[in-house]
Amino acid sequence: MRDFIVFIPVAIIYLSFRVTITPELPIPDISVLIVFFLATRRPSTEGVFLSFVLGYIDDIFSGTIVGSSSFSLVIIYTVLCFVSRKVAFTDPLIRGVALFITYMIKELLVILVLYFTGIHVGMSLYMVATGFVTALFSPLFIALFRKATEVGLLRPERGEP
Amino acid sequence: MLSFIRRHQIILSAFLLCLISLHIAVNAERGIGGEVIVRGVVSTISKPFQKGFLALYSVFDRVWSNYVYLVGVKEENRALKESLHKLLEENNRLREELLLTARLKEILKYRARLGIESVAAEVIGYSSFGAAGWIKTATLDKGSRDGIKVDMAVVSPRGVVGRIIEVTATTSTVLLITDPRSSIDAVVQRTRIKGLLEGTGSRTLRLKYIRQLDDVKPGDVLVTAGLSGIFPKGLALGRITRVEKGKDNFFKYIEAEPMAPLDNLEEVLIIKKSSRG
Repeated sequence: MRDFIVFIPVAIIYLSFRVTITPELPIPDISVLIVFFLATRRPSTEGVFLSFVLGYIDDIFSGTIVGSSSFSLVIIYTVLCFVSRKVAFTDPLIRGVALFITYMIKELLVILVLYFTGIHVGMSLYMVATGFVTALFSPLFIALFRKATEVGLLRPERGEP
Repeated sequence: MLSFIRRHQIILSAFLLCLISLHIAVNAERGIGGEVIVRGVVSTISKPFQKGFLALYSVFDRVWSNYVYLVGVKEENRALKESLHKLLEENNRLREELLLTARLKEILKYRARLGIESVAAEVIGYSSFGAAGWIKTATLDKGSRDGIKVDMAVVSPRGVVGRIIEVTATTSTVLLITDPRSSIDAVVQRTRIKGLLEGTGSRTLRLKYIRQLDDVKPGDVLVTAGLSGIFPKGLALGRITRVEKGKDNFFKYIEAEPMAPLDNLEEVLIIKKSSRG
């Protein structure tokens, strides 16, 4: 529940900033970063629900079809839960690459959902740029999330009490 | 069954939420996902933040526009000032050329009106020596190479300037009519009374040998009499400014001012051959 209490307001504030100040600029995708952090840290049902809610809020702010991002983030969370059992995303470079791929998959899934709702859009340079920026800034965000965990704002990591 | 659900709760909940998401997305137009309500709640929460971000952005934008951006403006200002100076210089040069053209046109018109062979010359220097600065001469840019000789008359469209007293190959010196060494036969245009117009070494002229009975008054125009053979007859010399009874009871004391602007001459005509004299 702690994750909900922290990440939902953070996402709302961050997305408010994005739509108000930098609607045209590619800035890190906070939803993908949070979902990645949650899935690779401690997989849980709460994480699945949080991914759904984050996707829902993301859709509301971005003005796209509601449900498209929540669908893609839930899938990403689930896949990452299983992948993180085999791969350790401790190295910043590997994590960066993984985040770039994760972001691109998220966008592809959104495009897929949009396609089934009758909206035909393709990949854009803006998406690639956002994916790159998300990967580039991931060490900063992950460090902040870890700090929040250390001070007790978030649930402790896997294996910790 | 319960243990199966517990073991696969992540997958099951994800599957369920994926279905819900797709259902919401596919039926988005019908508003099944409670989109309107959630949107209202989210916008209520986010509104103060958005306003805050806008205010911050506005402050940042103002600081940037008024201070940071002005750093480059200094350099731009310097470049603009330089450009302005160049344009002012060019403007001044063009204005000078325009004035020169006007003056040359006037000279040419005057030359045509005179109907006498003459050469246009430019005044390239003035001399005013002596204790009281009484020597009044000017240097012209035409000399013997241009056919200039001593005692040739120098005129401007406004009136007589003087006569050539010295010639080099490329320049010549004009004795201005205000120089005390200058004396010219003059006629009062209105009454045709003759006299001798002499320079005084200042900016004025003196008309001599006009009898007390002669009709001369301030404002009368003096023209050349054409007796000396230097100046053609009828050229404007000056205007009478002062008429008094002379000390000797025979002649009047008369002062005049030159018609030609002798202090700021730029172009003049040198009369090579007087056909009216």
